[in-house]
Order: sequence, then C-alpha cells, then structure tokens
Amino acid sequence: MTHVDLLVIGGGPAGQKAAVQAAKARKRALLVEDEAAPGGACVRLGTIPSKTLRETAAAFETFRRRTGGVVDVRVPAGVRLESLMARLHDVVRAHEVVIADQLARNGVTLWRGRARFVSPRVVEVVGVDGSRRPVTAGAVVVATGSRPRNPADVPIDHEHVLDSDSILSLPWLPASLIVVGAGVIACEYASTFAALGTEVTLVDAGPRPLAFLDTELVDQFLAAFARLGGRFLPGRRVAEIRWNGVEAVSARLDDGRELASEKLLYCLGRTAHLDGLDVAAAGLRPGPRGTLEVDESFRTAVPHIYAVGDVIGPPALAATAMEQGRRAACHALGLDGGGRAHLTPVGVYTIPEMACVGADERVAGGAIVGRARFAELARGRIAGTEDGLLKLVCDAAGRKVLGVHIAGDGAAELVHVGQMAILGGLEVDAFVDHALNFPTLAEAYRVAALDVINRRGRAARDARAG
Amino acid sequence: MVSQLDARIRMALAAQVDGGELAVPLLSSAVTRVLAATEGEHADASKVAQILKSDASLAGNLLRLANSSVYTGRERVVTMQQAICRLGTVTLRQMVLVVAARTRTFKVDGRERQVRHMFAHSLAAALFAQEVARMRRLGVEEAFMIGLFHDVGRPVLLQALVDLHAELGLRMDDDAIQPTMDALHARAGARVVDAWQLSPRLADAVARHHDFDPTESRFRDAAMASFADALAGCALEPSATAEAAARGHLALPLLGLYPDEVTRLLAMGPKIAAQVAELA
Repeated sequence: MTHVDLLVIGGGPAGQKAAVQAAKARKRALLVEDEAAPGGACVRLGTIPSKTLRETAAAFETFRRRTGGVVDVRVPAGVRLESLMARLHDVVRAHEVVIADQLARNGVTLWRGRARFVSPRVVEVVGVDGSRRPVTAGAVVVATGSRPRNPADVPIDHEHVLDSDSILSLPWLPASLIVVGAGVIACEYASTFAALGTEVTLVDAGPRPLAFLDTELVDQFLAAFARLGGRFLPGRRVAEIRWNGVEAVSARLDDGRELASEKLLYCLGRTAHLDGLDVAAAGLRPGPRGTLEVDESFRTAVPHIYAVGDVIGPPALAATAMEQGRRAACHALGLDGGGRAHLTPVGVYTIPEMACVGADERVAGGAIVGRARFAELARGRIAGTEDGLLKLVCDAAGRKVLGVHIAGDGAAELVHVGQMAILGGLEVDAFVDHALNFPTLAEAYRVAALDVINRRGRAARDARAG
Repeated sequence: MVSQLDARIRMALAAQVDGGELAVPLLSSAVTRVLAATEGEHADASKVAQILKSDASLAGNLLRLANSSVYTGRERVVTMQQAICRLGTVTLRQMVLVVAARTRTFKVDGRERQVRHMFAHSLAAALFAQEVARMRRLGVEEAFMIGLFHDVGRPVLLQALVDLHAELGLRMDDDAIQPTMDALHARAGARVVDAWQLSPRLADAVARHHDFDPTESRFRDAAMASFADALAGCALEPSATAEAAARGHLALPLLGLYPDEVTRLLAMGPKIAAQVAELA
C-alpha cells in the first residue's frame, strides 16, 4: 500500500497549491485528479472557457463603443459558438501544461483516478481503467470542488436546458436565452451572451442581481445590461421549466407569466462535489448546505482531514481556494503558513467588469466615500469607457483606505492598486501626493482621493461650524 | 468467379479514396438548399418551406421522422409548414441530414439488408454519442452528427466495390471485402463529409475514428465516434465480447469515462435499440 505525507483529492486551484506546498517542504505529496490533466472545473468548464468567450464579447462591445456605431460589428446570426472561442483549446492546453510542469518541478506525484474513502485513514483510487490502488496518508486534503446545483424538477438535458458546465458546449450562438439566477455566473453569462447579440432575459427571485456587491456597481451593471438589450425580471420565481419537445424552452413564472426562448441556462447556485467520495466512511458528514464544514485552519471534524475550495462553500473563488489549499497543507504538516490573509479581492467578469476589495460603505459606518467616474478621465474618454466608476471607501476621518469598488474596463486589474494601498496602510493622500501615469484609468484613484479629501475638508468645516 | 478482392481492386479503391475520385453521392438540390438555409440556429421558415415543396420525397421522410418519438413525442406534426415552425432549425437540419444519409448514401441496390443494418448502426452510434456528450458536458448536437456520420464511408465503399466487381465481371465475396472496407471506410467517410460541405471538425472525427492518439485531447471527437461505434455494436448485437470491448475501449481515458459511467451507457442499449428500430 502506498503511503504519503499529504494526499490531495482534486487537482483544481486549491488542490494544486496544497500539493505544491507539501512538496516544497520536502514531504511526499500525492495529487489525485479524475481528469486527464489537473486544473479542475476552473480550466475545463468554468473560469478559463467562460472568460475566453467573454473576452470576444467584450471586444465586440468595446469596438461598438469606441467607433460610435460607425462600423456595424453585430455578430452574424447562426455563428458557431466555438468560432467565438477559437483560442480556447490553446488557452486551456497552455494552462494545463503550466500546471503539470509546476507539479512535476516540485516533485508532486500525480495519479489519475477517482478517490473514495475506505476508512478515515485509507483512500482507494479507482483508475479510469477500473484498477484500484489503496493509499494511506498522514493528512488528506479534500479539494473536489463543486458542480452546478441541478434540482430534480428542472429538466436539464444539456441540449435545450443547460447548466453552467454545459452552456459552452452549444454549437450555435442562440437567438434567445433565459438565464435563471442572478449570481456571479448567471450575470457573467447573461451579459456575455447579450453583448454577442443574443436576446437575454435574466430572471431571479431577488430584487437585484449580485446582492453582495456595492449597489452603485450593480446599478452600472443593470444599465449596461439594458443597453446591450438584456432584460432583468426581479422578484420572480420560476415555477416550471419545460422543453416543449420542438423548438422552445418555456419558463412559467410564479406570477403566471410565461417566457420562451431557444435555450435556457439554469444557474441557481453550485453544490459541493462529493459524489463517490464516500465521506461517511471517513467519519464525515456534509453540513446542511451539502458542503464540508471546517475550522479556521480548514480542518474538518476528523483532525487529519482538511477541506478547501468550493467544497467548503463561499466565497468559491479560485484565488481564495489557492490560499486555502496552501494554508491547509501548512497546518497539516506543521509548517508556518504566515499571517492569515484577510483581504481577498473579488472580480466579476460581467460586461462591464466589476471588482471590489475591502469594506463597503454599508459596513464601514461613517465612512467617507470618494467617487471617480471614468468620464472624468482622459483615458476613459479616449477608450470610450465613460460609464465606469471607482469608489474609494475611507474611514470616518477620511484618511485610511478601507475599501475599493470598481465597475468598468480593467476593474479586476485596477482593484489590486487599492488592495496594496489597504495592505500597506496608506493614507488616501498618497494617491494625490504621488504621480500616476497619464492618461490611465488608474488616475481614477487620484480623482476619487481628491473627492475624499474635499469631503473630509467639508466635514471638518461642518464640525467646526456646528 | 469468386473475387479474392485481389490487389488490383484494393489499390483501385484506395486510389479513388485518396485521389478524391471516389463516387460520393451528391446531395439533392433541395437538401443542399435546406442545409444552406438552416446554417446556424436561425432560418427563414417560409424559404425552407418553399424549398421542401420542390422535393416530395424529402418532405415525406422529414414528416415521418418528425413524428417519431425520438423527435417529438407529444403533438403530431401534420404539415411541413408545421414541422418547420415547430421543430426549430437545428432539429430540422439534423433530420434533413438523417434523411440525406439514409436516402443518398445508405442505399446500395441489391444490398438493402446489409445497408439497412449499417444505417441502424450509425443511428445507434448517433444516439449513444449524444448520451456520452450529455455525460461529459460536450456538445450534444455535434455529438449526434459525429455518431451518425462516423461510418458513412462504408455504404459508399460498398457501392464502389459493387461497381468495380461488375466492371471486372467478378462476383463479390462479402468476407473478402471486409478488410478493405475496414481499412478505407474512415477516409472514405471523411470524403463524404467534405463533399457535403459539413464541418471540418466532423470530417476529422470521421477520418480519425479508428486512428487517434488517446493521449491527445484534440482527438476527443474521434474518440467519441469510436466509442459510440462500440456502444452501438453492444446495443444492436449484444454479446459478452462486445461488452468487454466497450468496457476496455481505448477511448475511455480520453473521454474521461469511468467504469460506472460505462455501465450506465451500456444499460441504455435496449432503449436506444428500440429508438433505432422506429427511426431506421
């Protein structure tokens, strides 16, 4: 029987980092991955493919904006979806090669197969050929990810009614699409398909999409989505979804209204992927939401078994998952994992892109908030991205930067400037006292900082007068 | 005189296939125009109806398929106009290709039974390929075409062999032609797909379905065709040998199918065989 110091189940971002961390500490690390190459859903079905399509959609949208409609760049009817992701195979392959090289370079052993707990200490790995290999490990990290939540009463056939794992397998760009749900994945696909010319209807029970984001950012998203021809129907539950057997999918809403489209994307959450793992044999029981519950060191109720990434639930972000994997490995192997990361940026790849880091004004009581509209920036005007917005959330004294919220081109990149300012404990004045490149969108930091400085001045005057 | 399918015939046939001289059945003008009009998901229904009016045989075959349980199952489609409006262009296009394959390629005079069997096998492979695609979140509609066309070279080669034997005054020995059919049908099939101006991706899957590198992800379509081929064999002619071949199939690692999933696919055999009996 094979014995290793750390057994990692699942080769997505969380699992990779856990295995590499162990190998770097000269421990025997075994990574079990059920696909031909590590990478997880992130590489095969989620982040990488969807962002590749989004990049094409965003390019169309940007071109339309920048040329003021002088050149007609509508996507022709009947275009093949794969032709809009022509680089996908190369992008995925390159990413897989990089991951495989990194694992090999660090001395991580990679087995292809599906893992199943036989007991808390023994895991059996079933190969694609049916072979069985038992493994024991000093510690186990479960990083099996998540899959779309597909309720039994939703007829997902991956042909007419699709989920977020199958939507990109469509051969043609659909003329119309109903998207059920208004979370990150739903909104990303809704705006991507709308930018490509699909008639998109976004339906959700909540009053607004992306409830965790700053409300002004969500307003920006809704305005842009409407400009792309998208329609958002808030406060409606979908009572029944039905493929009529011929040409359309219909969605009956709880208000009796009936929607119809060529395809429907069901996108109401994801669930921990524990199929076949038999966690009960390890002495584990998923929590009420179907996820594995862990402590702050990502340890489950069984002390030598850890769980990281989507399998433990929100925030279910690749960047967070990587850090969780690294920390779990450090804890399991008695290594110093460094200070706990308390600041994780969030990127939402809608059109426009949105991102945030740190506190928002709802939680930062008495915060002074500075705003910069991209329309005020030379680069914003040049790039035709006037509807962008950057918000700088500072403490009540208007000095310390607590959070940054951005909607607009490059938001997911720009947010890191704010993240470093927060981590470095910079005062907002630093954005004014130091030169930034001109013309750039990063200038939004300077404009928002000036707004904060003006507001704090007014607040100080008001305080003196009052 | 019984032919041993001597070198002359084999070489002549290989030259035809590789030189692009193989007599590939042409699509009828109506089929070509319907395919052009239904490229993508969107088509002008009135234009398609107009085209179908010019080909009563194609229209009749489409209506028969449209009313099979595989395609509708609920309300009966009575008129062509109804079929076009209600089936949607992707389904209509798929059905036109099924009809075209059956009436143009899976048709060799004097060999009806053999060819009917080939068509049934291809349909079964198409339906299995869809299930594999569903399981692995691959394109379901594309998968159908890959299964349907994977062996389209066989009836075309059979016709060519019949013609060559007739030309040379030889009687054809079915056992003797088999190795040649096995060796050339994938390339011949790709010629058909090219000639019908279907997708290059489909042509590649057909061409490579017996000749793919199972470690290269770019051969996934060919692997799917090959495995669907094996599953079709299990469904239409069940045997322990066929099942063992499916369970140990070379394509499984590339497709990412584990033993429990293969078991689920094999269990679909009777249902798919029944659908094939209705359609073929």
